[in-house]
Amino acid sequence: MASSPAGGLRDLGRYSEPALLVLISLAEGPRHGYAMQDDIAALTGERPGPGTLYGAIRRLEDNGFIAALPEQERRKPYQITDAGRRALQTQLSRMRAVADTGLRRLAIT
Amino acid sequence: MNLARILIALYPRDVRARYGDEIAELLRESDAPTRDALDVAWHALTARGEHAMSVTLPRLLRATATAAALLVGLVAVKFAYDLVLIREMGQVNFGGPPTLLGVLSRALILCTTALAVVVAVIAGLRLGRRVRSAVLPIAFVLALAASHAAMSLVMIEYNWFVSTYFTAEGMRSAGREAGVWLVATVAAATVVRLLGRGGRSRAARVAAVLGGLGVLSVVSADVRLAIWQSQGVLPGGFPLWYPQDMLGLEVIRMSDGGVVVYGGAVMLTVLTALALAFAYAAAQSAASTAASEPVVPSGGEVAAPA
Repeated sequence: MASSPAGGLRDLGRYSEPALLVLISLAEGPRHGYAMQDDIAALTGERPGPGTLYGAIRRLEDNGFIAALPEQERRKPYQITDAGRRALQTQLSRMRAVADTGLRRLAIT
Repeated sequence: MNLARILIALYPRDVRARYGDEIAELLRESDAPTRDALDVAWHALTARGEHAMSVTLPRLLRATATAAALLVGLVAVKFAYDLVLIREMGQVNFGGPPTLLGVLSRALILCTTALAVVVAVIAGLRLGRRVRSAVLPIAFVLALAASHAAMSLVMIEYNWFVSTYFTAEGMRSAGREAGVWLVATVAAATVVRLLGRGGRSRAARVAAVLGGLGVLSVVSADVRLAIWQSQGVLPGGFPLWYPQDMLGLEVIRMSDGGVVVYGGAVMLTVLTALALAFAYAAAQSAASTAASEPVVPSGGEVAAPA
């Protein structure tokens, strides 16, 4: 069943974190799997395994948050959809609210 | 087969078809092959578990319910058919000069059998698409055998067309005959199905004909063995034992001048034909359904990383 972008990525369960990283990676432009691995590794310091990456890609594609583009040089790039942008925005806003609250309570501004 | 292909094969079919090539490429280009192999294996098994719960299990339950309903219906039809068979066999003047009533009764038996075979073929074609497993012909044979055993007990209880086949000794041999019948039918159907799945339709047709003749002959020969064991008389007519049984032509003239007709043999041969028709139809249907499904990519070549 497809998730609503308003719900962010919470319906993706244990794949919500790698899915968030995939969406962040694709927010800059279409990428194929290998390039996504590089980008996420640069962002987080940890390269996602192929099983984790494509587990997230499958769920994002099933939910209409990303879409596959025609193959280029035998590689299939993916791009974020409008629904994916809205879901990413919802998720990041939610995370920022949580982070702001946590930092405020720590009295760190 | 390399490791990447083995790991990709762990995924459910639809995931393999969509992402198999891409995952295999990342595996081959991996800087941490052991970690990534474990990552793929874990996620493949997880995906397979999810697939089993969301797709395979509901499909299996639906198929089982449909199969059970159709098998129960078929057994009921078979029971009614037995009643017709028993009644009409009583009209045939076995071993004596042909009578008009006897000829008509034989014709009715043959027509009813042909109709039952058509029903079995239709049921096999429909069920074969849903249940693509050797379990199906096994279940069908067992259902018919159970129905046959129940009818035999009714015949003994009410003394309907009882022959020496239904003596205790004859009944003991019935278990062996059922085993021979089951193994031969399932083996023939499996060969036909495997050949059909491999796209060898011509070989499958030849195997179906030869296997069918073989199964029918083996079952009829086993009935002869039972007759020989119980009566000490080995019926002649080789190699036309099956058509003789089917037509109810086989009679054994006893030393005291009496004539014995093996009603059980006639019924068993009818059942064998029904089971064979069903098993072949189910195998053909399963093979053609499998052949029409999309071919799963197996990994493909690897492009250089960007």
